[in-house]
Formats: sequence, structure tokens, C-alpha cells
Amino acid sequence: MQARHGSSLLFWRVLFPAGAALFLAGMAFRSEPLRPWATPPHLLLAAGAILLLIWAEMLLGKRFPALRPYLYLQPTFLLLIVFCYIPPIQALLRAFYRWKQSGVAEYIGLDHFRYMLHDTDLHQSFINLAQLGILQVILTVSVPLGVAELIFAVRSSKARYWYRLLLIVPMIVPVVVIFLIWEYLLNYDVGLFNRVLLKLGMDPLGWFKDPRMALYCFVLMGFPWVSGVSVLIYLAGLDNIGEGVLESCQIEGARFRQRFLHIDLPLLRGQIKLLSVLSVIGTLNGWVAQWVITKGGPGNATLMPALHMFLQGMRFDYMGYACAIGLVLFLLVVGLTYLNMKLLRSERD
Amino acid sequence: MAVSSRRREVLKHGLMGAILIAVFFPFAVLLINSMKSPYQFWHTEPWEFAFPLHLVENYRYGLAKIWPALLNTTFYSIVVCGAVVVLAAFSAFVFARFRFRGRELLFGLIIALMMVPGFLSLFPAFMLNKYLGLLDSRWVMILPYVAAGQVLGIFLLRVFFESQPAQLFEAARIDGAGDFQMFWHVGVPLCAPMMATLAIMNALALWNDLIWPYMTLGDTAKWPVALAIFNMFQDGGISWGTLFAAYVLASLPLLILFFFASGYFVRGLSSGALKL
Repeated sequence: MQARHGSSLLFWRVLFPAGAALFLAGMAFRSEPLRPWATPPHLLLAAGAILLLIWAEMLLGKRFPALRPYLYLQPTFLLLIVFCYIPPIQALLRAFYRWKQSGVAEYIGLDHFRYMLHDTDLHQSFINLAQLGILQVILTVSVPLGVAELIFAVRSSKARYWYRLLLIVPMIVPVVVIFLIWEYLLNYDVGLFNRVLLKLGMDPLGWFKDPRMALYCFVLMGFPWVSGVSVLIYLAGLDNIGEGVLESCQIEGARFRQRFLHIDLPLLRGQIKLLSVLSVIGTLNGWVAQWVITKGGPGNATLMPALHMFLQGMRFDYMGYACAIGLVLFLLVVGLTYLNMKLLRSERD
Repeated sequence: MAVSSRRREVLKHGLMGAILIAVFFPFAVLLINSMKSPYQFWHTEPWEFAFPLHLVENYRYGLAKIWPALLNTTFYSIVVCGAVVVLAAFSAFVFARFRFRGRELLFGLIIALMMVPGFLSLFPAFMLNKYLGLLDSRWVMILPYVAAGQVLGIFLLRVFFESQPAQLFEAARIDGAGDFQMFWHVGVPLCAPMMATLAIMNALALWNDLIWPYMTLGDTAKWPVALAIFNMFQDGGISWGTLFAAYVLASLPLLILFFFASGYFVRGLSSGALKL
């Protein structure tokens, strides 16, 4: 604890200022410097208007103290309304429009949803999602539980601390880098896996290029499916079980398997539910890996609904249709979240 | 008994070691191959080192490729994290310390945003930024992130402020502090660790985001590092060794930060998991 405090002092007193100085120097001397004054004039005007407004409001706040909290919350709500409320609401509306990136919008009623019934790519993407989701949930819920039990059983508290910390490290690496590493590992021509197969005298496999395998490669990418956060959540649950219960287990002479089945599993039910719902929602939201590595291919073997939506809007300029798919997915997410809340609430009672 | 329990302890450590090896082998492969020349890459096995090491050339070239993008991302993260943390802390302070009509309604409106998944607002947000004239400017990497970061920040910090004793704030009030002084001199020092946690959560989100800059930034000089890396990979024409060196360099800044502030990362990641 002391040592860690010392290192953070070193960080804030020495490394952080040094890094900031280096950064500013780099910014000043690079070929294309930052030019805040090069922003479009209407933005500067807007900023000036906002400053004037703030000044007027400060006067107002002095006259009417009851208004103050509302005035204080304005900057946050201004940002939220523009960047967080308007876009999703517009998405819900534009699902019923033909909408192009040029800005042309034309009301077409339920046509998009009718088209969805015939969009075989979309159907395939939901089948892919279901397959991926089921595998993902099973693996990302069970494996971290095993690892958490293992760490929990280790006697030395220092070792426990280090294991937890080391499992967090992969989460700090940018996800794009992790996707690209796996793209290499499973590459047909140069990948590590195929080189190992060749060395063992076997034929190389197609991995991402094989339509039958490609989807499962995305499950393999999670290997060994030990997400640091899930392990942390389980460990917190195990810590909550309490010394007394565990001690009485020991006194009664319960074996590990008995304790796991009759004490840990029932008491960790909340964590298991939470993680399974989070992992379902994570699969729904996780389409960037497919976009980076296969673009949904070969054919539509690795297409995800959200990826289909992105490609429809970006590649083919059918933004209205993209919004319609987004609406359907959103309803799915809301349903799952509702389920999540309900399960969690019943757990708390 | 003693011998068997020690043996079991050793077994546990061995199993844990195997798991850690499985977790870290992709990174080890990455490091090993980032030190190979193209010839060595093709003529040695991916799991063995090749001598002489081409460490300096590969890393120097990789760094030259992504240096501007690294600076950009650092700049974006510093600005976004600073703005998010200060704004969110102030709003959370208002929610926790003031009583006013419609407080819970406004708070509920903010919390409701946690349910909105990112992909839903992708295209409308793109068009909105287009109409605002923000496309291709650095603002597009700042303003939307500052807005989005508020949601979880206000939620976490309000809970925190409400857990603090009210006497602290009343004492400041009696000493004649105004609202802003009270926030700055009492509130901020109290919640500094939470603010650091929040900053790290936002930095991670910004560091990882690929789609949004891909849609909105055409000017390569403003690209964040994730996009620069992805573009290097897609363009091809770069040796694998250099590409891998660039991957390593792109991951390094956050790893260094993690080394000094691991506690904040652990807390940030666990509270970030509760967001959708």
C-alpha cells in the first residue's frame, strides 16, 4: 500500500508534469499545430453568445436564489440535449423516412419494416448473433467464475492481489490492437495457428476465410475468456459471502465441490445473472470486431445486426433503413435491460 | 496434511500461471514479431526470436507513423477527461446538495440515457455534427464525448456526494463560502479519487473508439491512434514487424498510466461494467 502510494506520488509530481511538458512541446513544434482560432466563425459566435448568456444568468441568480440550481445545471443539459437526446430521438423518427447523407428525407411509413421481413442478410445476421451470443454467454459467465474461485482459494493475499491486477492488464490494451493481433494469429498465410498446424504436419485451416469457421473464430478470439472485470465482480461476490460461513464449512469438513455447489453458487446467483445479461447486451453491441476483421464476410457468415445497420448506412447510404434496424435492436436491448433490472431487483429483496 | 496442502497451493499457483500464459501469449507473440525484419518474419517461426534484433528500426519507423495520432489522442483525452470530470462533478454536486422542484425528474432523465445503446444514435449524431459544421474538426472528438461522459459521471458522483456528511458543507456555508467556492474548496478535494476513476473510464472509452472518428474525421492529421493503427493495417505495404511495433506503441501510454494508477483503473473498470 505504502509503495503504491509512493509510486503515485512519483507519477503526479514528476512523470505527469514531464509528460505534459513534452506533450505541449510536441504540439507546438509539430508540422500541423493546433489552431483553436481556425474554428468556423459561427462556432466562435455561438461560444461568445453562451458566455454572454452566462453573465446575464449570474445576475439573474443573484436576484432569485431559488433559480440557482437550474442555472447551474444548464451547461450539462445543453450538452446532453444537443449530443445525447436529439440523436436517438431523431433515429426513432427517421426509421420511418427514406434518409440520405445529403440530408434528403422522405416519409415512407412502415416500408423499412416491411423490407426487413425480406432482408435475408438481416435474418442471417440475427442467426449469427444468436449463435455467437449463446456461446459467448456460456463461456464468459462460467470461465471467470472458475478463475475467481481459483484466485479466492489462493492463500497468500499478495498473490491474490497480483493475479487480479494482471488479469486487468489486457483490458487496458486498445481493443483495435487486440482485434488486429487475432487477425494475425488466425491469418491464413502467416498466422501463428496455421504455422503451428504446418509444423505438426497438418493442413492449414481457413479460420476467418472459411464461411463455416469464421463465426466461431470470433468466439475463439476471446480465448481464454477470462475477462478481468467479470473476475473482479465474482471475487467481490465471494468476499461478501463472509468469513463465518466459510469457516463453518471448514469445520463441518465440507469438500470444495460441496461448498461450491451448495454455498457459492446460490450466493453468487446475482452476479451470474448480471454477467449473463451484460454479456448478451455486450454481444448485441459488439460488432466492431467483425467490421475490423471480416466486414461481415465471407458472404454474410459473420454479419451482425448492428454491423448490417452500419454498412447499410455507411456503404449504401440507406440511413433511414439503418435507423429502422437500430430501432428494432434498441427494443431488443430495452427488453433485455428490463429483464436485467427485474432480476437484479428480485435479487436485492 | 501439511505437505498435501502445500502441494495443493503449488498446484493452484501453477494453474493460475497457465491461465496467465494463455491470457498473455498473444501479446508475447506480438512483442517477439515486432523485432523482426521482413526476411526474418517469413523465415523464422512466429514463436522464436530472430537475431539480430530489428528493434530500433521497427520501433522508430512505427513511431514515426503513429506519433501525430498518439499526440492527438493524448490531447483529446486530456481535454475530454478534464471537461467531463469538472462538469459532471459540479452537476452531481448540485443534484446532491440543492433541493429544488423537479430534481428527481431531471436526474431520471439523465439516468435514462444509460439505456440508449451507441449504435442507435450513430447516424443521427453524424448528421447533427455535419449540420453543426463540426465534421473534420477536432471538436467532433471532444464535444460528443464530453456530453456522453456526463451520464455515468453524474450518477456515480451524486451517490458519492450524498454519502459525505452534510456538516462539511454547512461549515463552509457558515464561513461565508459561495456555491462555487463550496464546490471548489470542499466538494472537489473530497471527490478527487472518484474524479480520477471517472477520468480513466472516459480516457479508456475515447482510446478505444474507432467507429466515430472513422465516420467523422477525413483529415488524417486529426486522427486518433485507434484509427491510425487500423488504417496502417488496412493500407498494407508496411512490414509486419513495423506494424506490430506500432501496435505495441499504441498500447504503451495507457499501460504506463496503469502502472502508476492501477487502483483507479480497477475501480473505473468495475463501475464502468455497470453501464451498458
